[in-house]
Amino acid sequence: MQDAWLMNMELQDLYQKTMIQHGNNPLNFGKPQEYEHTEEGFNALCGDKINIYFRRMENKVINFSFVSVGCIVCKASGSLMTEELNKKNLENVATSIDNAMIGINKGNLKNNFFSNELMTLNEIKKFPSRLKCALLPWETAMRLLKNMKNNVR
Amino acid sequence: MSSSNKNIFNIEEIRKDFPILDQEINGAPLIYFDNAASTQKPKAVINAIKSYYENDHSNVHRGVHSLSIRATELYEASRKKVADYIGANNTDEIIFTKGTTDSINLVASSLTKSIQPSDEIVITTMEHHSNIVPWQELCRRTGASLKVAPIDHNGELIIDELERLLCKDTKILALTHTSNTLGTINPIKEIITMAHHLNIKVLIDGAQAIGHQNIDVQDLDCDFYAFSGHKIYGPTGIGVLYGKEDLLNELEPYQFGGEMILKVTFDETTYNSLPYKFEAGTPNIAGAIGLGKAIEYIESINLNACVKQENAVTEYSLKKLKDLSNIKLIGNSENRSSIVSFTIENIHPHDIGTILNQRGIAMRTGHHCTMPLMDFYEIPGTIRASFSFYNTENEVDEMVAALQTACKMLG
Repeated sequence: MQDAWLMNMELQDLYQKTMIQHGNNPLNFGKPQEYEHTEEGFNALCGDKINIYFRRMENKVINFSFVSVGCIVCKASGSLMTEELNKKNLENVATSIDNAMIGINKGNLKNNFFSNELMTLNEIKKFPSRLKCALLPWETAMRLLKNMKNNVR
Repeated sequence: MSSSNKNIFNIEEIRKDFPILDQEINGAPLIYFDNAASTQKPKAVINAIKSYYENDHSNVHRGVHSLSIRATELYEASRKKVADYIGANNTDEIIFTKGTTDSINLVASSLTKSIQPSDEIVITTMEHHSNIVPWQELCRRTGASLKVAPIDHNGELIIDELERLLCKDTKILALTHTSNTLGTINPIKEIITMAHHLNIKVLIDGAQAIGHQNIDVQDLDCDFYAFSGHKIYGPTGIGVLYGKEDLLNELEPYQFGGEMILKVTFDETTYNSLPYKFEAGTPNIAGAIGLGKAIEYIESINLNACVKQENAVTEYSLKKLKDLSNIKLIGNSENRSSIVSFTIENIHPHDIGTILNQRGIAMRTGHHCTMPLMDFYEIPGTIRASFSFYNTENEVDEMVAALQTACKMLG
């Protein structure tokens, strides 16, 4: 069969159902009418671009949304990230992002810290050239938080 | 000449000259379609470099001992080979550099003192970053303005618009011979004539043209021609700047130090003559020798026969790609090289690139260092197949099959 090479491979794990679903129909996608802060992230190597928007909802919980012209990996990562972080309190977000970035880099995100869906991103490590795509949303969100903190001061 | 070679161009034999092609990537035979990024090296080049280091290495133009004399002879013989290959007047017009980028930077830097704030520099929308940024920097240093000649949606220069941009204030027109993203071959001979009527100097970025068509700098009458060794089957880290002798004599040196001097005291320094004035420091001797050997190799298998094979594979791939409903070709120039760029509806080039790699297919995906061109087409990047004479129509079939599978998987 012509497509046999696609089966039984790391590739299958990378582009698994979760990734394709989130990549093709990302959640929290779009520019909100009102937001407190925004940050643009750019991967000069491949041209991936992401804009992240931040606002505070009721009960102090936060909300991220994003717009991206990136690849499936970048968009899925943005979708999974916003799902993971939204409804957290602002104090905990930076630590979560830090831990997630370490986990993505090492391919060892743990489901006692993160949702099961986020484990999808563990597959990226096998494709070193794509790590930047997966990290772009997280790095941009982190920069947004830092700039936000600096502006407040 | 070309017709007699038609029968001796045996692709299976030629592929054996390139050891790297004979390998598997992810369990599939390597299909190398990234020749616009860098071409592979024939055994002749690899062996020449090995032999140089094993037998002849020393510094050039320095010692009176035999090794230095041998190294110098080999190095200068390569310069002669390059000069003959591109039709330069003499070897003084051939400066060895690190590559195309370095060559363009050399000209842009050396011009600093002779550019006024009222001057203009013209480039085009389809330039590689390496033929944009050095001129931007020159403008920043001097206060001159950078003008950009537009292209149409087929990826061809709009010549009338270019002509309108050129004026008495234009000092330099810098444009690519062949677009690394679109494959467009620009009508540079006509453009050069047009520019010369206004006394404008023309620099041609030949990175994608070298090795894929005959270059005759005297026939073109270009003022500068820049290219890289690694795009013509030679090593990386070696490139060439061709310049007309009188222009090179007028230019200020680019870097300073050993080799480029005649006489040094603590009060003043007298610069060396061409081409050494522009070759400060110990040059890439092995690289130059490798480049000379690469040119020898191309001549031995006949460039015209190579181009014929590349054109056949390009035509075949265009036909096959046009059959796929969700593919959009980026760049439809009439006169084109062996570079084919395309996008696939709703699928990002990077995802395609990763999947093709699992099939052993090496293709470039992204902006190809032409971000302004991507902005023009309003796309984040393209998928690019760039062919060499060692590529075959069978390999194109493999690519098309892999693309179809990738679309099914990602859709």
